Amino acid sequence: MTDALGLRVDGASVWAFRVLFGALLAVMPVRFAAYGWIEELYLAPTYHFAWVSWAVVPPAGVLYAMHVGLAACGVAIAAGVAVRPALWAYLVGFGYLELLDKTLYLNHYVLVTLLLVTLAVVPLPGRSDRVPRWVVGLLRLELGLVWTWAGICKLNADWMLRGEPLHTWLRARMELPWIGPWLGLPETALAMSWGGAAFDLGIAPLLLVERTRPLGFVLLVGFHAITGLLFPIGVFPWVMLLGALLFLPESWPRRVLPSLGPALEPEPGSMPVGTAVLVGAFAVLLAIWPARSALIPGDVMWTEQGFRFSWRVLLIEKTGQVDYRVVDRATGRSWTTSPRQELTELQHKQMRTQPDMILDYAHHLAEREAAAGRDVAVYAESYASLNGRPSQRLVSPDVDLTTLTGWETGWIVPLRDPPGR
Amino acid sequence: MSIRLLLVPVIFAGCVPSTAPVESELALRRDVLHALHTEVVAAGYADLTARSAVLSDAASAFCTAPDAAGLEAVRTAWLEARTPWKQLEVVGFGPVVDEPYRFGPLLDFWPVRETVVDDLLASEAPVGPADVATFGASTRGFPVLDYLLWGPGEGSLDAFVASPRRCTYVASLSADLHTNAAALEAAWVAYAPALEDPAAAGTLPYADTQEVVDEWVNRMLFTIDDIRAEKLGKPLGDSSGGVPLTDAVESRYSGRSLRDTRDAFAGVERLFEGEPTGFQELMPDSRTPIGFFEDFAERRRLAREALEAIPETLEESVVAAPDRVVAAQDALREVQVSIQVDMAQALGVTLAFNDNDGD
Repeated sequence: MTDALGLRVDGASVWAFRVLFGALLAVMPVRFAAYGWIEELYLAPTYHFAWVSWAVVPPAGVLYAMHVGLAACGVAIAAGVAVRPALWAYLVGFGYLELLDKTLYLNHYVLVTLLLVTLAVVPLPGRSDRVPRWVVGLLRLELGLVWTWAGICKLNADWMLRGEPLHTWLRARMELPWIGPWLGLPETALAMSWGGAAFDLGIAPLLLVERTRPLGFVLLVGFHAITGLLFPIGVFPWVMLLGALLFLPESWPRRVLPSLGPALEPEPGSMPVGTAVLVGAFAVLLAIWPARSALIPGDVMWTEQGFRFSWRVLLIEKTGQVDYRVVDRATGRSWTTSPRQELTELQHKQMRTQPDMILDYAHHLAEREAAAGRDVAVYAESYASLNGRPSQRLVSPDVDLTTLTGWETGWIVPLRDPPGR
Repeated sequence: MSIRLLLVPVIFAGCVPSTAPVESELALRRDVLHALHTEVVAAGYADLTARSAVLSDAASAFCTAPDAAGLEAVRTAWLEARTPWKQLEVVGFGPVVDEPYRFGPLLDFWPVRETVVDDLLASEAPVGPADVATFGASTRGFPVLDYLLWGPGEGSLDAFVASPRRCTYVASLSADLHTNAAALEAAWVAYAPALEDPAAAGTLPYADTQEVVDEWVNRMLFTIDDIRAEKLGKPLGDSSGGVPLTDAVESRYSGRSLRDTRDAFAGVERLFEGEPTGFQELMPDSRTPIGFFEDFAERRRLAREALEAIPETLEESVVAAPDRVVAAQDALREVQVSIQVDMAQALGVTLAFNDNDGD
């Protein structure tokens, strides 16, 4: 087993992936800055939903310098200059920026982080080198799990029987020329839902099997082109298309660029037992981590506990409304506070349907009042709707949120009509 | 070719669903928007123009020979002119906010900067109609008139008699308000047709009528939120640790604050109900929660009653009857939830899918 995984195969595909991935890494921070998001997402908000208390937004100059540095690291990774230090530097910088605000969470940023971690520790081949087969396998596994878990998570009644939330989103496009009226039909949403689930569940096997690989690539390009055109999902299609190249034969870059020389035949090699144990444990963790929500009470699409870091993509359309009742414990005086007054539009939109962010903001309110010399209890008046259901309470209005850490159960009102599995 | 093969495309065509329901839904959307833009908004602005003309005339007449009856006539005209304006507060887009017009601040820059107005009156700067037309928003519009017509309390008429300049300023402000109201009406009439086919017009920040619907629904919920948080909440002390801020009351000199809130709320209701068609027509049965219309009607009734139940004036009630104000806020929250969550879902207003999916 370890000999099979340790077999040294042509490293050209991993080399090409590193080059192209580096280029994408260079573009991402430039794009982020060019869209004005440094200002809008980091500097404009006066409060941030930080993942950890020590993650604080640096001054503007440092932020811009970090983005320049990240772009330079991306160039270095693509160019093959000081690759490993550049990967680590990118990982630390990018990771820190992501920790600054939950509002910025994106599934493909998690994938980018995961790929950075992997590339930072595995053996990386040069253009003329071989690479242990397990490196290719691990990268393929990481990408394959994204699609597969995305497919598994779509196997619920909302997606498969109601065509939601696709129907909601496609209806918003029904004024497009030619295809618009078709997009407004529930039958279209249902067909696309089934097609999407089938694609997610089937694409990894299709890409892995040599005979079906061409079909897999056609489907892959078509799927990501359609989703990229219909929905504003940024660089996500590019990340996945890039990753899919890893499923081609290891020597594919040499066919595209003959100057890279002829394909390298595999050479025997072995995988050290320690490495095998570590990689195996990591692979198992990656495979089962998205399932953790099964251990948490409540529907994950409603509570969102265990929703992040589990490749639940395009699954929910939620709208909500929240404000807080603040009660001065000393005087009994109470008043209402709307988060809209302090948060940016994006932050407000995100937090009003996500219980953990509602809780975070309640703690922030308590801290803000404490700074003004008031000891307060904070209660949420929150309502939300999931995938077209009638609105209902999201967080219990009777629970003083300042007494919770977020790990407790019972403070999120159960969904009245769960989608089922 | 066998006859069965020829039948395949026929059978396939028979299975393909018709797009007619979608096309009729889009046609209905355009019809409803047209009705709202003409029968509600344009008609409302026309009403504002007419009422502001009455105000302007009353102010001119009053200043020829200031007396109690004349002052009362101006005050009444101001109170009446404010009705269509507050009912159209929900129209928070278009010429009312867009450059180069920005009629909103010119008509209703609030709260009034008392010292700025006092300084102007104390100065020798000309305050004729042509001069006022060049002033900034802090010395024009409804709130300045509110301050001058009702302040300083019992001595209001005496102040006008003692200072013809004060009266000239009021007459100029009233004329200016009428001019701006008429200009707003004209600008809206020119602007609105593009809203019914923004893609073809290419002059608006909306790609299609769905985005126009988005704008409207967002304006409806913002208006409700504004009533709760700003018109009621701020005076109640929601932004000051529960300590009432009586000077944060809108139209506080005239005591029209509660009527302002009721008018603003009525404006939201008119959009939903329409004249004759409103947003309720656009909510497809298949996407509207069962019982929504009855429930929403009940919530609106309770909110209306809760607003009516706040004793006059709001300035006094935030101190003497805060529970009534809180009850109105709570009732309005129920209305807001219906718009922001249920109505938005049914109309597909929350277009962007979960932001965790892309950037």
